[in-house]
Amino acid sequence: MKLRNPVPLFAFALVALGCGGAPRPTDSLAAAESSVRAAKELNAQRDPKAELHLRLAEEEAAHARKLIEDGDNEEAARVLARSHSDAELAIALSKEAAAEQARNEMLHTSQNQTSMNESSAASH
Amino acid sequence: MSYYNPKYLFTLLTVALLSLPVLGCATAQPPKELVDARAAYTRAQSGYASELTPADLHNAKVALDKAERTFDDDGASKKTRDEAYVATRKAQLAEAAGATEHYKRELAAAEAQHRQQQAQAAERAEQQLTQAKQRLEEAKQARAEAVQRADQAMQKLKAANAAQVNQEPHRTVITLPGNVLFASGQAILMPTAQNSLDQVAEALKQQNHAKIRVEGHTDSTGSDSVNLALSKERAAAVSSYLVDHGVPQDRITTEGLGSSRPIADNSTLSGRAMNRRVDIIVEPEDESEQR
Repeated sequence: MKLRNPVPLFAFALVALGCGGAPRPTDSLAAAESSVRAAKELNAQRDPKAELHLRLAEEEAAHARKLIEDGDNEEAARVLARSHSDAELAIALSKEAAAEQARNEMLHTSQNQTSMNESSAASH
Repeated sequence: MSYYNPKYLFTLLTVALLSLPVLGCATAQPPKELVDARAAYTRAQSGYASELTPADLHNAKVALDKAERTFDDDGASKKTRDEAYVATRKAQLAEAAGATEHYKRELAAAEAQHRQQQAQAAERAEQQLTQAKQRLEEAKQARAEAVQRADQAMQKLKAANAAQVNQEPHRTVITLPGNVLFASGQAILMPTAQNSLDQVAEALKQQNHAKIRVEGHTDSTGSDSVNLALSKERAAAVSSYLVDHGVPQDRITTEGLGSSRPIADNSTLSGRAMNRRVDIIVEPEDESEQR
């Protein structure tokens, strides 16, 4: 085939391979929203750092929903990845705070028992 | 110009190649998100995650590598920045997961220690209880043995007929006839009294949980004041003898009652003889020792 002007063909290829060719990331949206719910169930809002990332995750998920409506699936997919990573981090931070608190409480209880034992041993 | 002209194609290629840096390949300046991602990974790597949650740390590395490759390919594009953002979050997650595991292990250790302490405290309490019970048992046992010895001693005295032994519900009264102990009108013990008094002393030494009262009595002949004085002196003589022969002094009280407590008829010879006596009353201190 004799090509008179390869530039338009080149441009068309770019468009075809590049933007707007991605599928609707509905599964990713569901996964991201599920992570946000999980973070809320863990009461992530009780720890300040966890709450920050929970809010970010919610905003990003909302943004992604809008992008999907507008048809920008590729961008939506990346925003969902951010949302999902923020939600997972919120969960991890929440668990960390809970584990630290449990550890501190047990150390406190243990210290009390030690001093009780010592005073009991001393008086006998 | 024909588009198949080699010169045209060559120009196109050169322009394309020269455009590559502009299009974003291997730009010198990484975006802030990527810098943050690298720092976050370094932090996570130097924390607990390396040892305790290596899988999460590996996921963070994979995400960082992906962002780095995208940066190499596309430069500081939105895609690079998004992937770097995710990489940062994954590194932070790994760090938090490592710390969580660390806290859990410390909690487990503290719980184990706490259980051990409680077990020790319980064991100590049980030991103390056992020892207390044991001491109580031993005390009871010792007391029972002492009571038994006291009883046996009194039975022995009774059987020996060296003195009259009357066992009443709450006390025992040992009666020593006056003529065995003293000459008429005298308060000095006769040598013949020794045998009886020795046996009484032996019996009294075993009465460890009892009070001992030595009472002197006279018959009605003579004046009351003389009889009172005589009875006191006689009681004292008996008490001294008993103390000298091992009966603890702090257990004995001594009294003279004169002729105020006759046990027989003072108008007869034998009656008067019976009234002239020394009574030794043994009263257990503890009511629970009733016989």
